[in-house]
Amino acid sequence: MHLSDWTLEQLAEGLLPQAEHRDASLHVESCARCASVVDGYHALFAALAEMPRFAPSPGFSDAVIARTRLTPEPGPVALWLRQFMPKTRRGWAMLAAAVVAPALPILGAIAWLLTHPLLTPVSLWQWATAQGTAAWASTSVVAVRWAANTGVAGVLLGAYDAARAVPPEALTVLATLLAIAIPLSVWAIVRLVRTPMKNVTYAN
Amino acid sequence: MNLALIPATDHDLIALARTGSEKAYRELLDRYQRPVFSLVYRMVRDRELAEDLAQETFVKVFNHLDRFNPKYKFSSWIFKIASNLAIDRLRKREPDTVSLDGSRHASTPDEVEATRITVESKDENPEEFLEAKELGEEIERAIGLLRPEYRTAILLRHVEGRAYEEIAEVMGVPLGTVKTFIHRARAELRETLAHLRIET
Repeated sequence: MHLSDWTLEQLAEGLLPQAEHRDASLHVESCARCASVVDGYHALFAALAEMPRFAPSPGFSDAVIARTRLTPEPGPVALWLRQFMPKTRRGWAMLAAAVVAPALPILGAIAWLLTHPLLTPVSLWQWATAQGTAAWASTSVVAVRWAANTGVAGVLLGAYDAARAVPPEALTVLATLLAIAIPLSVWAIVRLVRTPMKNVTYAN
Repeated sequence: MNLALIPATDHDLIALARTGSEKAYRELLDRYQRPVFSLVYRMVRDRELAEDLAQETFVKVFNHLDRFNPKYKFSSWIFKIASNLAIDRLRKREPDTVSLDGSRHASTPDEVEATRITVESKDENPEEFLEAKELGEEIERAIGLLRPEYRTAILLRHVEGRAYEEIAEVMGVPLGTVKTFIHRARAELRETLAHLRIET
């Protein structure tokens, strides 16, 4: 009985486990047909191993290097940040909207306020100074009350007093601006996150 | 890292290349241009096309080094890309015969000599040399008759000396399939080359 071709191939390649190798070698020594097959494989493997490796043209390396991006890869933080960077014009537009949206109503409100005849740089400065002083006084009051009534109730009472010190018009304007800017900004961020930003390509 | 003093591993070179070192890229090219070009050339059997595909392989690999998984061998990755490109191209066109001339880009006799397909022999005897040359050409032709999958597997196994497991990784097929490819390829080669002395 002869050995299978696969076993003879494995024997010729030297890939049989030790025990099988010994048994197969013993068989081949006494079997002319199997010995001939193994010799044939040895000759084939030797001929294949002799095949030369071809060289590409002399300018091959330079051509590859010319098409290779040699810029250093950014560090881990930059790589992490890069995944959030928009890759499309639409993505950049969304990012710009997210950043600019909260600023626009504030700038608009300032522009509107500056058109008022009684509002001059000097009066604005005086108003701002007065507000600052009032806020500082309120903060002091809050601190004193907090110290006196240690606990959440004291802090809330102090905060309420501080809020009362701010003119109601200013609070209304601030609330309006935030009511417009915050939803607009959230909308822009949501659109930004949902927009596909990567042109995914694969190396293989 | 000084490449001139330390025999860097492929993984070291990749790390260095990712910092923008042209020297590291060139070292990787030196290591793999012949194996990759030989594999692709024997697959597509057209020197000009093989040059294009080998170049495409290196450009893809070098421009996507950040996607290299260090768990695997670099050689597996580059051979995988090269063989995929070659097989894709083979599906689109019929292969030509092997050209034994040097590169058309070679401008000096030395360059022609360096790039031509020659079947070398260590023997001084002209008759033996001619026999070896004829045998080499017959083997090249016999390999050219194999199915692309068999060709890839047999070249990786016997010319590049890759392990069965790595060939399975390169070809993206199970180990058993690789064994079948190689077994059948050998059987076909033996049959095609039966008229030569190789069988004796």
